[in-house]
Amino acid sequence: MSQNVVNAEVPSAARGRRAPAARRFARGLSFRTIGAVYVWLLLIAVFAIWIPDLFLREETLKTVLNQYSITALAALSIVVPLTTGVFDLSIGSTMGLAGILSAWLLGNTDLSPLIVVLLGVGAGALVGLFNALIVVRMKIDSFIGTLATGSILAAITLGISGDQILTERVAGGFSDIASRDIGGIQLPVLYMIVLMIAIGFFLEQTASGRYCYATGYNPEVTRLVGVSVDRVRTLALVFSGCVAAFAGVVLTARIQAADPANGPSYMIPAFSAAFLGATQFRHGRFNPWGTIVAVLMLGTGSVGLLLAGAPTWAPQIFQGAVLIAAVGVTVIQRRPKADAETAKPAEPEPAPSAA
Amino acid sequence: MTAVATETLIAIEGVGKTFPGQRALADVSFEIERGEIHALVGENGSGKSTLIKILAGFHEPDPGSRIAVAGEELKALAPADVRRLGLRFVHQDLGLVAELSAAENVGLASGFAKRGPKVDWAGQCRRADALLARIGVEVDVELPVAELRAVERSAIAIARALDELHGEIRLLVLDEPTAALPPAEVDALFRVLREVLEQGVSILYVSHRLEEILGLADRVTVLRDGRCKGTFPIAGMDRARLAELIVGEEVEADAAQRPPSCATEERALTVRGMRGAVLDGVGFELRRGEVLGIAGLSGSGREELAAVLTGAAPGQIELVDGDGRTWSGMTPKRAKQLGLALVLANRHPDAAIGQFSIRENVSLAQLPSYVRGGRVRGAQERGAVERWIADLDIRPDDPDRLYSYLSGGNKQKVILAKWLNTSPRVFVMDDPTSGVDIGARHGIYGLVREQAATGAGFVVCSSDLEDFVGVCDRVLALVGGRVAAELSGAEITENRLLQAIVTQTGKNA
Repeated sequence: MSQNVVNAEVPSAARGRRAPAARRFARGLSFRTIGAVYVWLLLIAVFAIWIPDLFLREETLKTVLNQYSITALAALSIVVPLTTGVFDLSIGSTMGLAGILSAWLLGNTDLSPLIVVLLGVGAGALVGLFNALIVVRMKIDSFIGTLATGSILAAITLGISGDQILTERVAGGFSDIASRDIGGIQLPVLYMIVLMIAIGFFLEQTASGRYCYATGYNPEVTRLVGVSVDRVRTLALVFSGCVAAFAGVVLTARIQAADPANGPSYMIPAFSAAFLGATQFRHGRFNPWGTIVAVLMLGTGSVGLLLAGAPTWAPQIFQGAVLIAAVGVTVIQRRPKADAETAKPAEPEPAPSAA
Repeated sequence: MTAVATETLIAIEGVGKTFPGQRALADVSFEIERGEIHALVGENGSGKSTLIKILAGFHEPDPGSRIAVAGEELKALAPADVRRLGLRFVHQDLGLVAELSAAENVGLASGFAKRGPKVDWAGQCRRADALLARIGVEVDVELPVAELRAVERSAIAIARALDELHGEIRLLVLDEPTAALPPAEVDALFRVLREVLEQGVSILYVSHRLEEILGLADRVTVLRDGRCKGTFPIAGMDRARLAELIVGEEVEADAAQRPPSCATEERALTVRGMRGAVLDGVGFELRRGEVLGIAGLSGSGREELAAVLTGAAPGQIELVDGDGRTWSGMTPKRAKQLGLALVLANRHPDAAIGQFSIRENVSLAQLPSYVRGGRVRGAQERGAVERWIADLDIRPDDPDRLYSYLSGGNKQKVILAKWLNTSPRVFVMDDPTSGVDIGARHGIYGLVREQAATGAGFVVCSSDLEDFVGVCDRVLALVGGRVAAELSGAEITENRLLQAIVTQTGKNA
């Protein structure tokens, strides 16, 4: 085939046709690619017209960022396992466990806040390893396996707390990790940004990140190039355990109390954001950028509705509806395009039989 | 229509089928008579499957094609017509749900026996029993079919196809019914088929196994390169004659055209005692620069060899590498360290990642070499991929194009590029030319010769005999998991290969 190098249509190897810069730019801004950003802008416009006095204030921006940074941490925690094709449904319970554990350690030991945070994250790592034992080693479907571990973790959390809300020593220096602010923006927002960039770098710039996507799309192909798919998935679960635990610890510090019922409520928004995020920027791949945009969009809408005087249950309806609408629009938009492109190489299917 | 029109069940006249860029069938005419077992034979790509799919109403034949069933002329067959006319199909994979019982599988196809809104399970079992009894088979219809013998599963699929709930059954089309059967169970299937014939149903029997056809069929129609080479009575036919009809007269030049072998005296690897689901102690030596073919029917172990050799599938293997080190057992990781590359067919689900671009697929096996300071260097990765795109003439030449949007030939090139990129010592290829057009096929042969000239060894497992004639220095023919024959150099002709791989099938348990 190398005689074909001198092919009239392909004069040079280096030319390797990349789409023209202008077209790539246009494609990058299309609704198909960043639909959620447009929906977000539309929401801002709607609220700006509807309730300009309440909405168009610096306070609103800070509220959205500060309130939704923990949801963002929870959502970021599952992005990596999702790229490897593994669901971690235990993150909500992991958040709850780490939050209670840190409060219990503060109340019952003299450990410094920093050590408490590290122990909380360490507990998350153990949860991740336990999940890996079930999902990777025992080969139980991750959807079921992590649902089960989540249930066990919730029970442990309740046991540690004695079904009480723990507050001792939680205020003080410990709560600084969540409430210290820099120009009105609290530390968790910074954690969110740092983690988003770190995960983005990992998934898009490192070999291990590429292996994560490859594992999620086709574990067998990945195994055949000599990558240990089991190790990829184990580390992904340990990562989600650590980040979820960190989110739980930050949550406890932020509300200056640990309620065993707190963590699990973050699971559904986290998954919503991760799935909505996967439809953004990277055409179907789970990615941190889209996930954060999704969180902010959902946050803006929810905060805006509450400011406008909507009942407290309205944001949840809004979040569910937006998730369906955004993902639905993307699916519908993508459908005809994909057909047009696959139609080209229509080849006859030769005999599937052998010899 | 001939004078004996009353006896003709199906008349196929001048049937053609053109796919974009490829003529799959041209002017095929033959007739299937009532009450006969009519065999349809031909090599891979000869058009058998296309013809069956036309009969099944899956493909529309070219204008001018004529198909008449029991005297009723049909312009275009739709699946509903096919059912109405009493044509039934049992495909190689049988289409049974393994976890469900025979009674449930029958119900899935033709509806469940009901009592009010609820399924009448006792009645459903009786129905399945009755269907099976008609072809002389008795099985436990409440057991998941996965727990039954292979031939019993075949019988269930056949019994289900013969369910006359929707009218009289006239023709049963069987596609490679013995491919997945252990040799010992083939006779049992034949007994079932004779029972089917007793029901007044004709059979169109598609198989590669010449012995079976000679022992079972009344007449045989041979397809070659999409054309009908005639219909012949089995009486007076022998294997050599049939093989010659299938592959055509060997063109002397074919073998002469094969470029000279570049095999060296140096060993690339020695394999001993390969065992797997079917493989039963296969061993061979491969020299550097040598292209070794592995031929065999499905079920001969040929499909498994590439995967066991590279650790992709479980199995036993002892291997001596080029440096004289001995390894027992194989994993993909070890295969990579030893420079063994498994190049799968583009239609294999594990050949590449559809959601990845050309670039990501090509670089996947060699990613660490583009990493500097923890980052995959985009420019270097891209540069390497663009070189392969140019070298192999992959189209479109856009490294960011998704793999799943490529044509078969270009997919195959991407899979090749992925492994070429790792500079392997031995390429293990599995059906390297399936689903690629003639131009890409010769491109792949050229590439194999070129790499062999640089000292790489090749193990080419293929279902397509042309691959062996086109590119191999030596061929091992597998039968029943063992090496049954070895051909080399000028001995490698399609005719001899075909005879070697069909030898003793059915007798070697």
